[in-house]
Amino acid sequence: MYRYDEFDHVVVTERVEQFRNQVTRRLKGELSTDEFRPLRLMNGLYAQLHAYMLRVAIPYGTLSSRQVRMLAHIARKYDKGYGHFTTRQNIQYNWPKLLDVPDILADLASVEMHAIQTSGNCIRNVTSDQYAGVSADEIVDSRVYAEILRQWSTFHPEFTFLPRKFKIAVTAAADDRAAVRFHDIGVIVHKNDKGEIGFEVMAGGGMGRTPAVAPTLNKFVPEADLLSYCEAILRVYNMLGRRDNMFKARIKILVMATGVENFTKLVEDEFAQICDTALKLPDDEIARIRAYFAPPAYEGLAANSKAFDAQMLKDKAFATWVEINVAAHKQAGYAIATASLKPIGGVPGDCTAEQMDVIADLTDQYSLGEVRVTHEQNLVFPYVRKSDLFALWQGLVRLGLDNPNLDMITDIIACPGLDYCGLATARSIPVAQRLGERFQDLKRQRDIGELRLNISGCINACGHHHAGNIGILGVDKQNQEFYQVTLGGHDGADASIGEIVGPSFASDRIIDAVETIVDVYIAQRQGKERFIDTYRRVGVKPFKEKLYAAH
Amino acid sequence: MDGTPKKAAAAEATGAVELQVLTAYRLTDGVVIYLDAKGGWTEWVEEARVSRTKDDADAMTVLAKAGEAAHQVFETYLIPVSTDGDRTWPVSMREVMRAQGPTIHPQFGKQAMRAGRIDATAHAGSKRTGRGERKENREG
Ligand code: SF4
Repeated sequence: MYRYDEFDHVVVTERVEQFRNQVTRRLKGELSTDEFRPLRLMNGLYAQLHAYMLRVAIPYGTLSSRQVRMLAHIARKYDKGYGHFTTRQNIQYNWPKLLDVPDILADLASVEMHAIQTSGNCIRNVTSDQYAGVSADEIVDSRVYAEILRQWSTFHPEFTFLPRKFKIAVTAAADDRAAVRFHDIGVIVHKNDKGEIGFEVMAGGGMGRTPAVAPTLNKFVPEADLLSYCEAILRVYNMLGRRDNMFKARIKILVMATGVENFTKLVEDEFAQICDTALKLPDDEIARIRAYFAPPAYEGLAANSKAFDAQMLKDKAFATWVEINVAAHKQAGYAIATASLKPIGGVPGDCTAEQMDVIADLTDQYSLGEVRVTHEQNLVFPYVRKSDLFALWQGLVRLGLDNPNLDMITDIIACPGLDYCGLATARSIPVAQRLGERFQDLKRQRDIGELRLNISGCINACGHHHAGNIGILGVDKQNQEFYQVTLGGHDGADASIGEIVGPSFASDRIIDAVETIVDVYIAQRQGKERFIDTYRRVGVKPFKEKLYAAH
Repeated sequence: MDGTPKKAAAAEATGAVELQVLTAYRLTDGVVIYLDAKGGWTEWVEEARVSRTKDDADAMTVLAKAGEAAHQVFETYLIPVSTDGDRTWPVSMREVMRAQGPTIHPQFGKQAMRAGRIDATAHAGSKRTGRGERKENREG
């Protein structure tokens, strides 16, 4: 599986010692609040509502069992016994003490982890498809290119002080699970008629107060030019992006203001200047990185497992979980299983130290030592023998992480909201919990089918509400929590931004409002139409009529 | 961010002064604290010094800056409070949350250490937002 190269290891270890020194100087009074702030942010340490918060990077969401055990250890030793997996495939600790942070970072470094690039106006942790390398529907392993981008962007001297933070996502699958069109740069890997690899590169997508679906700048950038093309985009942005107003500083605003055509031309011109420089990716470099992601030693298994088939017949709950939470693997005899971190009434993305320890064990026993965090805040076991699915599922049942709700209405993405976040205008997690309880009936959930519901506690949209089929945004109205609803957002290949349905709902009405929306969908849908398809066909009107009927 | 100076000027003109306490974070562990009557810091908002005049608030701000300069605290700012029933309590949802801890984890935060305080959601009914003079926390 993925590993660091030695260069990173030295750098990361040095960074820990630097930060230890900075913390000591801060405590002695040699560094002021203002001097220390950027230093701690560069090491993933935020000041949140109740305490410091440490955000740890998980490149591509990929964790070894050893790393999961270390995350559990940190939760237990330095925090309050749990961590929170985020929509950026990171993990956050909500209660670390400043004094302990250097030790936490040292512990992380001992398992090749860190908190670098999780904050600040740099290129953040590059994300990719959670099923990369294993899914039946991908062209290649997208993490190879995500890693090339990560190595290029880490500590890139030119891009340490961008106008604003910068997020890149890569996918190589037909079904875009990485929401690439909502990123500053999105990359989709394609193969042309000659079998050559190339990239569709888009730029200027994002959430926040001005949501945007990234337009495509170039449909097929040759494989060797990935870095030069991205560097060209970054250079244009670095030069022309607005630094005077942080609300207008993201690349999406520049793309909108410049116009897609003009922006593309600027990028292509810059690209023409630099495409034949040292940024050109040699084949052996790609091969070197590909080796990081070499497939594990699969056993030569038959496509079908008799034991698995028997268990499917025998245990209905297991069969349901398989139907909903298990995806097709590219390797015969294997499957991809998702553990839902959204138990009924639970906090989406939260995981206790005890759960992490058991997950590490399950990972060793049934998934060749690897587990992945998804941007939907779930955990994926990427290498499960079909014949092991039942045992894995039993383990998840014991942990309470067996909810068969993948991509359904209770598989809610929710940001920390006012319960933790210093920027929040309302809480999001309690809304997710109440919705989970209201829609917990599995039969009903299955009848509703695929429906993505996302909640953010403020306009920064970390809960991806713009991209939810149903999006919920918490607002503060005269010190009361209200919730604005958007409909029709979608983060797949045909991404779209949700439209506001009307005036916001008080906290005690929001759950009923969602129920009304679901009822309208059920009444309007034709055949097996998904929520998003029905919405696109009928528009906002019938929903609006029903929601505001009494007004 | 929310035009506090303007608000303060308006308050001065009408002679009405908002009751305020001064809050901050303790440097070593990031715990939410408040300036108390003795010039020290308390973890409990109900034990905080309440300013009733503008001069009072200014004096508290000076003490807070001294605390920052002495590297004990960071991110100091004034928040509106009410003292109904002789109990000092924050007005805004956000500050109630800071005074209590996350509502989804009643076992953590200050609420876990002192039971029976006002429920974190008991801000309902208040009409004032008063988000205080917060400068930092653009850390999303
Ligand atoms: S969306 Fe707002 S409330 Fe939620 S985590 Fe982001 S900044 Fe905080």
